[in-house]
Amino acid sequence: MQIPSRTIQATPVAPGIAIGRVMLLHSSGSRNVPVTTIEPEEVSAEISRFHAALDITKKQLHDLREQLKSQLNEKEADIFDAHILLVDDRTMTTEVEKNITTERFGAEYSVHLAVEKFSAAFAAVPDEYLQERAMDVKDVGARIIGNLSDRIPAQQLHDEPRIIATSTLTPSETVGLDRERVLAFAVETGSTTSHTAILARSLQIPAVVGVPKDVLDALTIADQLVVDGFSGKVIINPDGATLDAYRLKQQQAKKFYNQLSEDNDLLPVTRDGFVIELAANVDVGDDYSTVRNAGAAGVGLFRTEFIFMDPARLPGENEQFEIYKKLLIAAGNNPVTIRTMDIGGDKLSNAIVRSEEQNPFLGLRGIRLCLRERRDLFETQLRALMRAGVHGNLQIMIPMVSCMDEILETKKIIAELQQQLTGENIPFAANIPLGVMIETPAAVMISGHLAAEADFFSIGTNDLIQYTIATDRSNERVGHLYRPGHPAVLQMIKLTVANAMSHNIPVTVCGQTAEDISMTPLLIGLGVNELSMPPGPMPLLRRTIRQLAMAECVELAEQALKCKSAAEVMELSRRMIRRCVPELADV
Amino acid sequence: MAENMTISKTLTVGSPMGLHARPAAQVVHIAGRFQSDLKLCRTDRHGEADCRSVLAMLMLAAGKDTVLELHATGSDAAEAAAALEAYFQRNFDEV
Repeated sequence: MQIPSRTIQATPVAPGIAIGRVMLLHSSGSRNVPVTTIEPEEVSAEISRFHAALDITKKQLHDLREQLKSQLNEKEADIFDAHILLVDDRTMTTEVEKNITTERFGAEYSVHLAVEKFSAAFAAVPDEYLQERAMDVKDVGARIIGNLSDRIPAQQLHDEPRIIATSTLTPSETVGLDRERVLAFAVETGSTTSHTAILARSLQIPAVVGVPKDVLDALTIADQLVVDGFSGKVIINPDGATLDAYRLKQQQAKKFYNQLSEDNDLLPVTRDGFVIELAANVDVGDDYSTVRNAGAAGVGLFRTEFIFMDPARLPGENEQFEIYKKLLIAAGNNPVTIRTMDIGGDKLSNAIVRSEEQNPFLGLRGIRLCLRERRDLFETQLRALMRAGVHGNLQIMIPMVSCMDEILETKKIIAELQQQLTGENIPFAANIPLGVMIETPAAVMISGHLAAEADFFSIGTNDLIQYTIATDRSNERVGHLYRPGHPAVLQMIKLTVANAMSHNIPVTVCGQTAEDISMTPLLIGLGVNELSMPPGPMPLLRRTIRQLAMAECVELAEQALKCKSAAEVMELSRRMIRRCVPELADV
Repeated sequence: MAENMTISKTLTVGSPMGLHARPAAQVVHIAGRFQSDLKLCRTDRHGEADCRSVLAMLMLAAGKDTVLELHATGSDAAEAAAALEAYFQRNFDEV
């Protein structure tokens, strides 16, 4: 049954228009569990899928128990026995099998229902100890569901591409989705700079955030939605006329974009002859042909943390080597900048980060984690990169740098690994350029020293802005303070570029600011050499650059540096955009 | 001895912590050593709990001093019942 038609104003975070039916994701602990149904003939396959996931879960818990044995006493490790027993507990498995067989729910949702049932029973018991057992059941359930989802992504159980409506979406969930089956995201929490938004844009999937919870709760899989990623409107069960209007708008947007894409082989050069390189942000599993078709000058940012997102299994050296090699070969002679794993902050991977932190953004993330707790993973990754380097034009970049020791230590490790590889007679690329991500104010302030050691800088604006303005970009209560045009941010970029220039090394911007055309005149004027972004918006940026003039941008940047507020800065910059690229001013 | 004799015993939870996760797991382990069907039930409630299901054991919500009835059915019912009784009498080996 459909709910009545209504229109909601949400916040647009990724452009485009989508029309389609809803896919619901229900929250279970930290995971979303889609409601899936199966056909009668799929019952036995679904039950074996469930049992396969149980086997994996049991093995994980056994391994975990063995690991903990050395750290905890035997009695504490015994708690795991209860967890292990829960995994193939008769009461639990019978309930799940019943849900699959008689209710015809998919395995994930069947486990979810069983977990809800038993944990609710525990929670109702007037005994504090047993109430806590509800958490054990949920823990184990989340593990099983996780292992199920690793096998067959939930969305493959669906009939048609749909619009995902959910309260939150974690980065690993967003990455795990099959883009062919996702029309759009309508999410409750998140902001323009949340990972959902960034990934949605890189996948070229329209997305809005800030959809009220009561709206999401009321939706069923029968409801049809229009998601307008330009205006932020979400229309539930639109009438015929509205639907027609949006179909037209969808076609026009596509047509305009296709027109822009006809220029993809043109050089991104300003009217007065300065080339601003456009490079692509690429994620694991992306098809390089998209990058090539967008006319990118190589890869400006390959994020490797998603390789490590599956807590069940971390990739070894050879597996990583193959991933990097494939990308390098696909890119041919074009430079490919691969960032070493940036884990921590909001990019958590439980298998890798060993402790909970009160303030993960100021905690052990990026290069800090690599040099302290997970040097093992770091060395494996560097070895794989150095070996892959012989197959193309590789550059290595380290994230979250805040002091000189971090680049010096990394260089030392690379030198040691070079000796190792030489000793083992394994071919590797020597002299791979090593770059530093500039994303902490500390790195900006010491960028003069860093530039003496680094071969290039890449400004990660998302983090640089959040650390400079001390604003958590995912916190809606302070989100309004997160302003790329903040004069403090401009000063940060100016100083970074000045120090890079004096050491003759290039500066790329690879944060989200790079794809924001209202920021383009400022970045160019401040002296940034390259912009790295998902292939999606690249045609817009190429058109923008080709209609700007460097001389005017430099003048604009000088004026902007004198402004007292982000609003003043953005007004100046938008005025230039309206004048030079009027056709894009509304995009 | 009859193949399917049933032995019933009354057990009392003596451990101050009750039948929590660790002893529940232990009960499942002990039950696993025998062939017989082993059920525990509360005297104040309906329904039986399978001693091979840790979830069922936990769902008994048996705190200290809870009285439980054990029904063991099968060829080794006597030995199984004795092993479980002993475990309860040792207060789950907790101090």
